[in-house]
Amino acid sequence: MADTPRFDDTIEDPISPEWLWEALDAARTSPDFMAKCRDAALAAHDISQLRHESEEMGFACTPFHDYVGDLARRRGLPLDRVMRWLDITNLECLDRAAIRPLARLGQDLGLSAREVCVLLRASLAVQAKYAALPLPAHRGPDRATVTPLVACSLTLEEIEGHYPPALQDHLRMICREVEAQFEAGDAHS
Amino acid sequence: MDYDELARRLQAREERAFLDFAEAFARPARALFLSLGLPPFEAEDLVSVCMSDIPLKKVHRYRARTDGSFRAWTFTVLRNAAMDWKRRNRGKRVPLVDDVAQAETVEVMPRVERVAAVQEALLELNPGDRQIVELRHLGENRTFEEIGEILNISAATARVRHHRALNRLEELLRSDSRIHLKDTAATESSGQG
Repeated sequence: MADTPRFDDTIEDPISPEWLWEALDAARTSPDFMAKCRDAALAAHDISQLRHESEEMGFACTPFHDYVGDLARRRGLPLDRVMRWLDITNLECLDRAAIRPLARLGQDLGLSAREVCVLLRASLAVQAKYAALPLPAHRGPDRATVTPLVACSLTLEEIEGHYPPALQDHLRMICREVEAQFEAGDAHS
Repeated sequence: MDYDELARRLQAREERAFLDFAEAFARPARALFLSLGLPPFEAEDLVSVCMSDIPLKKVHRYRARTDGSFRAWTFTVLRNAAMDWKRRNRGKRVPLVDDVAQAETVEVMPRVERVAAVQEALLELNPGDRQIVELRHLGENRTFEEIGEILNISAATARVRHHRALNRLEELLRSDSRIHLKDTAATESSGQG
């Protein structure tokens, strides 16, 4: 980076004491530093609002992007600042490189690794056309006693039993990536 | 700035409070990280992460105490973030600072306090004048012609407002003891991003 210009081609800066220039130099940053910090702060605000909504709404057996979209709609928030900050281009993308940012979002929303994994499993089931929305309710004999999260997981297990091997592999990859993100996130928090 | 009031507003999830947090702490945090030996690019990257993570994940743990304000608490969290970064990146065990008073008296604080004083004075300027100082001196190194184009004013007007803003800054900082503290930081970076 070039030194701070004390003068430009045509106009002189005012004469100020050296200590003021030194103080300003100490506070100098790269050009986009403050903009990036403001973006981070606004994304944090939006995530905090979504997190609050998630705490009120509780778990829902639905694809990940629908869950997050519902939170945003209920709060009246656009998701663009959050997605830009977390480097997410598409909430529905389930490629390997896309999973950790989605898991990070889930983690920031206060979801557990298991909850995020189940939401992403629901995304995969719907995208691979092994299930339609709304997902069927769990019908086992324990249906009155299990939590919504467990019931959703059991429903998905039934569906996933019909997956071909390649889709099974993709499913395992998703869960591994989610676990890895949570472990990394926990270590840094 | 009333830092404990800022903490309360963050805990209430007020949007403006998140921005105020970044305005108040980003530059001092960068100075702290540089003084602790982080490379400039990494320091700025870690600051931006902290500007998200502290209000989002940590501020709910803050309770107003008699032995330290939210400002001191935030510097402790920032310092620990830097120590975590160093531990992750160098494989060295570095003792964490978990005491507010300790975080305020370590040798790197003169440089950090100088930047904090500038930042607090900037926040006393009106937003337009603050933006001119930022554009001219604190990041983008713009000419008055460029500043005029950005703010839709003439270069001459930009120059006059810049002059006025610097005079006001000088007034605000002249008697601020933090500006004239001797910087004893062992690790001094050029601070270029």
